[in-house]
Amino acid sequence: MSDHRTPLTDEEAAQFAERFRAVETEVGRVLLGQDEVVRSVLVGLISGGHVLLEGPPGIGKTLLARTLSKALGMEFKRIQFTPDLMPSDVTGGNIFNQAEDAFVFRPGPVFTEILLADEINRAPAKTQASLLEAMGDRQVTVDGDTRALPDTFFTLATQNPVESEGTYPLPEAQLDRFVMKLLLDHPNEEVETTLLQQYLEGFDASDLDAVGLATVLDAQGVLALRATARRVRVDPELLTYIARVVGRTRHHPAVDLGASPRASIALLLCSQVVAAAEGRTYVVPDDVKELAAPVLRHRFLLQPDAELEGVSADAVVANVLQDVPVPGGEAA
Amino acid sequence: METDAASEDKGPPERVLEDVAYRFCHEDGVDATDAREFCTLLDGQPDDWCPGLRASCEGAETASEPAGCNESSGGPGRLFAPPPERRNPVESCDPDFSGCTPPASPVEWLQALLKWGTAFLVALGGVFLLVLILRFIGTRRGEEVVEVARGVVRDDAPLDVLDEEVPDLPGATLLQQAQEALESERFVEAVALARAAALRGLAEEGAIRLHRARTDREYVRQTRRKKPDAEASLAEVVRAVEGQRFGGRLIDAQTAERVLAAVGRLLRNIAPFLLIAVMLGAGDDYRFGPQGDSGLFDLLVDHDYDVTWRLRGLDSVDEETDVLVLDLSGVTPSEEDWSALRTWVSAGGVLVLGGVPEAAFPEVGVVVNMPINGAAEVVPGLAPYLPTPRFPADEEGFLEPGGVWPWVTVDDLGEPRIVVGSVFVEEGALVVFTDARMLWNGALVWPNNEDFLGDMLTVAMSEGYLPYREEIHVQLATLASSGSDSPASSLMQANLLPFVLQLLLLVGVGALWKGWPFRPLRDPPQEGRARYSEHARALGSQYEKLGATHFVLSRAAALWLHRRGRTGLLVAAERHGHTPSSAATLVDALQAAADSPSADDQSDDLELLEELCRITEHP
Repeated sequence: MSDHRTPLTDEEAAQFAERFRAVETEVGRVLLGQDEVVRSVLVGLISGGHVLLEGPPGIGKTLLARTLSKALGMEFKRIQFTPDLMPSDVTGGNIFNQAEDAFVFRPGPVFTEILLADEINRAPAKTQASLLEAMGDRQVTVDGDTRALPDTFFTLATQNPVESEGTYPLPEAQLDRFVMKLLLDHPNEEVETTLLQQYLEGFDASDLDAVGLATVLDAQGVLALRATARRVRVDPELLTYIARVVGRTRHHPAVDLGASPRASIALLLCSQVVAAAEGRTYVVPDDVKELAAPVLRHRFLLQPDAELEGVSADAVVANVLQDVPVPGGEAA
Repeated sequence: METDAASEDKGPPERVLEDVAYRFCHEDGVDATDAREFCTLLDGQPDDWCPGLRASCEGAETASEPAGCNESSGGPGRLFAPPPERRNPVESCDPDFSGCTPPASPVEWLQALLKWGTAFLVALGGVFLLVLILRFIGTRRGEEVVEVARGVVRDDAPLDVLDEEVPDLPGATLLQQAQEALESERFVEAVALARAAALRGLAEEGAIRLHRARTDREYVRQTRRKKPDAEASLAEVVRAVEGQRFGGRLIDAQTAERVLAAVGRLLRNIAPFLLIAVMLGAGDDYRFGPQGDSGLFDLLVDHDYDVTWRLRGLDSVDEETDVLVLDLSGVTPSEEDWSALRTWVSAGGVLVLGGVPEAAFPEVGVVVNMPINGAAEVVPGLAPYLPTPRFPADEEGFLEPGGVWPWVTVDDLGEPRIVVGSVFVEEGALVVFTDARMLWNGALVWPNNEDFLGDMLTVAMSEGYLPYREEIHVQLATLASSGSDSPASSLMQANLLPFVLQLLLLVGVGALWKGWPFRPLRDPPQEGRARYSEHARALGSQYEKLGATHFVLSRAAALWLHRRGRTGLLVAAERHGHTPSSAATLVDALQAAADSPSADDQSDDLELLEELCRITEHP
């Protein structure tokens, strides 16, 4: 494998784009009308991050995770977060084995490659925090023993829009570990009609094999793509641009606590993936702008006044993008 | 009558062009290029007639010399010149005013006073507006968080901050510079300049709006929406620039040439639009310019015709119109229009055409486009009643003799060529001017042309050349009456733009002064209110979980004090059962809470909050 400082060639970028599109197409066959979401989730996965999906129930969040794992040939597990879920239900724990007269570690569902954390904000903060180490360092520590997770470990968490009862907002530290937060909405009439037509013709969401979904990539392939994306060229001016955009969130009057440097890194890595997915060997400002909202929207705290006034995080990001000049003009 | 009127004592205007609105006739250098074709019409006329046009024709600098008070009162820069009939033939020259002393008449003093008074008031209004805006901005700064928050919610923030990196030069100039850079083998600079040329060109056309925070790909997407045929060229340029800029790629001669070629295509593509824009921008003067057609309108009004502009299409001419003047140099009827016109003419209408409609009215015969030289002559049947017109320079084109009755011919080497004629079409008739310029203002420089055009309809009707009408309702379908592409150009054509702008300014100042809302205040839609309510409750419960009761009370109290003020809350409290003293105590407590958002939680925070909710809820 090439060192990440070796510049990417046009051929390698083209191959990356081809494989990326293959996964996109395969998942898109099942998940109708969510092309942008599929693309963003893939970008998040290949960048090495985790993705938080927010949207109403019943729009295919679970199906997306299952389809993705199938198309990528990766192991998939799901945790339904509930108020009584315990950390050990996530990480696993040591159980006394009477036959062996010893404690034996029984791994929890987190030991997988693709983890669907469904309705993550329904579990209390203590349980949510059990994912922190897994998401941040790809390892789990139970009773002092640290166990590694696969390099391809990827959390796809879902949460319903803010509700007054029965939800526990994710702590900032946890939110910051999601490389992107994607907003999903109900499909339009045309997509929904096609969806109904598919069901009429026998589509069964629980039986993806019957759909003929092909495995177009494997875990090693994902890691290879990740390494390839790291070699995409990023001009120093773009690094400055990213830093300015993220930095501006820290000084925005409507923001109480701005985005962290982890946001800058996420923006950088995702931009590289997007550039490679388009067959480019270099990042352009448009890549950064395209990703700014999903990467930043969950990483800063709005001031209470602004929140009461109905200011949204996306509006702040748009405002920030409008304020920061893009590099590239001075060539003229 | 010839030109005697010009040197005679001024009474009410006798000639259309004596009106100072026709600046080309009175002011030096106005529309000089357009006016030149009418220069020959000045031959043999008194020197003081149409000094502006004469100066334009001769290239003389009439502005530098006070050429007599009769002329200079309408001279350069004197837009407020008094009407001709008020000129004083003995007024003296004043070197301090590069023309003549203001007229001694008290009425004119009053005019001058009004003019300067108005100017002073406008200036005062401008300063007042500026102060108002500055105060408004200052107020906004004081409420930074909330106002910025509102600003963020809006997605219509002004985008007029230009991309300062794109030089403020016309696209063609930048492309020229790019070409020079290419020739000097400065390929990177050439490509960068080419990009700037493309962006500037598209911005000039209105296809994109330059902004320093926009990426080149956003410009490509904007172009895709507004000018799809230019997208490919721009995308090619952007790819090359990005590759060099962000991909570290070298720009070779071939790439640079390809990029410049793409920009060249793009600019060629938008050039016609730029031309149209320039023409629209110049539209303000054309009605009264030498190529305009207000003169014909004024002339027919002076001759007691019932004249109106034809502001609608030509697909249905009403029966009340007797004569329709159609200038084909300014209006292009469609096939449907021609069909409707033919029906209308056949039913008895008289169509006066500037230009020849060969296909629609074959009765007119064939026009021969050849230069003709010679003097015009009115045919003997009309000569006793109509003066001899004179055509503008470079007359060419005439009608082959056929079914057309000649009115005016030009003797071309012994051969009479028909340049004005008429023909009956069933119940109606056509009058054809082979040269449409005869209907333009410039043609009226020659006095006989004015008399000819003013009298020709009544004379021709009485002599049997046209169907007879008792009262003649005339409509003019000319360039000035043709539809506008935009409300702005429409206002410009009607010379109403300054008036409308001042009116809007006045209304804006009034609205700011009185605090009128700029649109009806409406509640947000039910769905949005429900979502906001749900959001607020969730937020409230979060604060409650955090125990931040005083902060919530503080913000709520500040909100209601801001909305209703202290007095409003006192009234609300009394309406809800408080005595004046308990209401005052309550409002004082709310004010204290509002002033101290960071204070620790108090035991009565929730009670106060509940009471605040109670007194502020609608009955």
